[in-house]
Order: sequence, then C-alpha cells, then structure tokens
Amino acid sequence: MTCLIEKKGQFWYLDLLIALFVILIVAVLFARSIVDIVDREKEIKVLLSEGIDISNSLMSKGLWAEFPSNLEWCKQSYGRIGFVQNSKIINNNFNAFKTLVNTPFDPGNPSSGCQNPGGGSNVDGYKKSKILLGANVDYIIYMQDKDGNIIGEEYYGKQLTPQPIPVTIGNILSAIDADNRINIFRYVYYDEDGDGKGEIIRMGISVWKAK
Amino acid sequence: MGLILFVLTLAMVYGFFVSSHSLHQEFFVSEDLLNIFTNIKIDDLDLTNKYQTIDSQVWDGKIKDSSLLLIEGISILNDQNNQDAVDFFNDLVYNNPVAKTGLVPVQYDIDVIISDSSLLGADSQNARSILARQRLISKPVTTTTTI
Repeated sequence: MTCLIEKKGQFWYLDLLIALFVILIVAVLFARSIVDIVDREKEIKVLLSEGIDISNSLMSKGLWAEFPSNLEWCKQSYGRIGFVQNSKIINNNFNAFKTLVNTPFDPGNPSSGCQNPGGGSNVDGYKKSKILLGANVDYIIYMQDKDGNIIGEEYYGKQLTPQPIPVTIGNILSAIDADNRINIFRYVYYDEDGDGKGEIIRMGISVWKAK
Repeated sequence: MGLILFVLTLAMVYGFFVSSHSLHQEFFVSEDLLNIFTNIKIDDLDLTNKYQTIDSQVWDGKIKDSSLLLIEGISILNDQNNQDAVDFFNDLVYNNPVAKTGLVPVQYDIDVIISDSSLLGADSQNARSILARQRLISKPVTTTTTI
C-alpha cells in the first residue's frame, strides 16, 4: 500500500515538472519573439527616417555641385547633395553626384578619393556622400522608367557584392545583404540627353544597416 | 491551449505593427506626381518614344496646345471627353493600365479628382487609407493615393 502511494506521488511530481518546463519554454519563446518584433520595428523606424531624409535631400537642388567643376562635392568639406528642382532632374548636379559616388579611394595613393570633412586622410566618394547626406546607413539609388527598366543600367551609392548582373530591380534588391531594408520611391522628370524631351521616372532609394 | 494562446498573442502583436504602417510612401506618390503635373508641360515629354497615346492625341487634334502643363491637359481633356483624360493620365503613369503596372506600385490605387469629380473612378470607399494632395489651377485638382 505504501509503495503504491509513493508511486502516485512520483508520477504527479513528474507531471508538474514537465508542465513547468513546457511553460518555461513557451514563456522564453514568447519573450524573445516580442523583443525581436519590437527591435525590428525600432530598426525599421530608423531606416525609414534615414531613407526619407536621404530622399528629401536628393529631391532638393543641392549646394556646391558644379562650381567650379563637378568635383566640388568631392573636394569641398561642405555642401548639400541634391539634384532636383521644380520636379526636374538637374543634369549637372546629377552628374556631379555620380562622379562623387564613383570616386574611389586608394590607400596606396593618399591624394586619391575625396576630402574628409572631419579631417584626416581622404575617403572614398560614397563615404563622403554619406557624410554630406548625414546618413548613418548604407544606401543605393536607381532610376526606373514606367516599363520597369533601370535607366542606364546603373545604380548609385554602395557598391554591391556580388554585382547585380544584369542590372534589374530584382537583382539589385537581392544583392543587398541586410536583415531589414526600406525602399522609398520618389517621382521626377528626367531628360537624360538634355534635348528638352524627357519622361517621368521613378527614383528608388533603398537603405539598410550593414550586418 | 498554451501554444494557441502564444501564437494568437504573437499574431496580434505583429498585426498591430503591420497595420500601424506610416503613410510616407502614399504621400510621396501623391505629392511628387502632383508636383510633376504642375511643373512639366506636354512639350517637355518625349512623346514619340515614350508616350504614344498622348502623341496620337496631339496628332488627332484632341490636344490643341502642347505648351500646357500636364495638369491643365488632364483638366481640358476631361472637359472634352473623360476617356481621353483617362487615356492621357494612364499613358503618363502606367505601361499597362489594365494591370496597373508602371510607376506607381501595384498595391496603391490612384485617382485624380477635378472639381469633385473622379477621373478614374477609383474605389475609395473600400480603401484602408487615403491620402490626398491638392493644387489650385483654374479648377481645384486633387490626386489621391489609396491602399
């Protein structure tokens, strides 16, 4: 009889342990999931804010783009990047922006690259563009026509690895290595060859935090 | 029971974040397009290569003055024949007006309201959110972006 009571007690105790263990696992999973969702939302809010700031800057006229040459954003320690006025892309400013982000810095050649506004050695053009834009995140921009083609088959900003080939919207976005990414679309008129005849295009801006 | 409660709560929390999305992209679609319509003239467009419908409207004499702003073109065409104005707008924004693919992401619907009259007849009653921007030309014109 005594033996039977002991067995019942042991069985009930084991049930309680299993139940507590399951509750503990579920509670931990729940807490982690909530924390992950909240953290992700926080990061997305930051990315959204940065993306809007970058897009607003690009949609402005900008300062110090082309005087005296289109290297000015690279050479000066100040300035504001922007290449749109009255909904039209200013080709000179846009070319200056392309020159800036495509200027590399070679550590073996200290005079290469762009002036570092904070002093010290030169930096590559993309890094300089981030400084002038006040961006703490990585970014790329691309232009799309209404057929979805990437104009000029080029994107500007952070150089992606591996290079998206061919340059399509799908290949560009899949080459971005990030947990979270924000895409913003802005709309402008673009007369690529400056002949007075252009088209309405979509400017895509993608921002993300490097892993 | 515990697992069901767990999944349900997670779904509710996630749903809250998803449903409380910002309207920034809708704002940019509406504001940027309206800025373009009020700054760009029909003459500025590469009609031959990019806007064949508008090009044919110019050749057919439906558009008599190509120095008009795009928004004026929409308004004048709408006074003449609503379908011409719709075709004009669609040629500016879409490459396939039926599938609504083109410049505006497919999850958004867009409409132009001229003097309280809807140009495209978008179903705004069932929209989850609507964002409108307005400009005054000779008539009040509003674009709305809905999702």
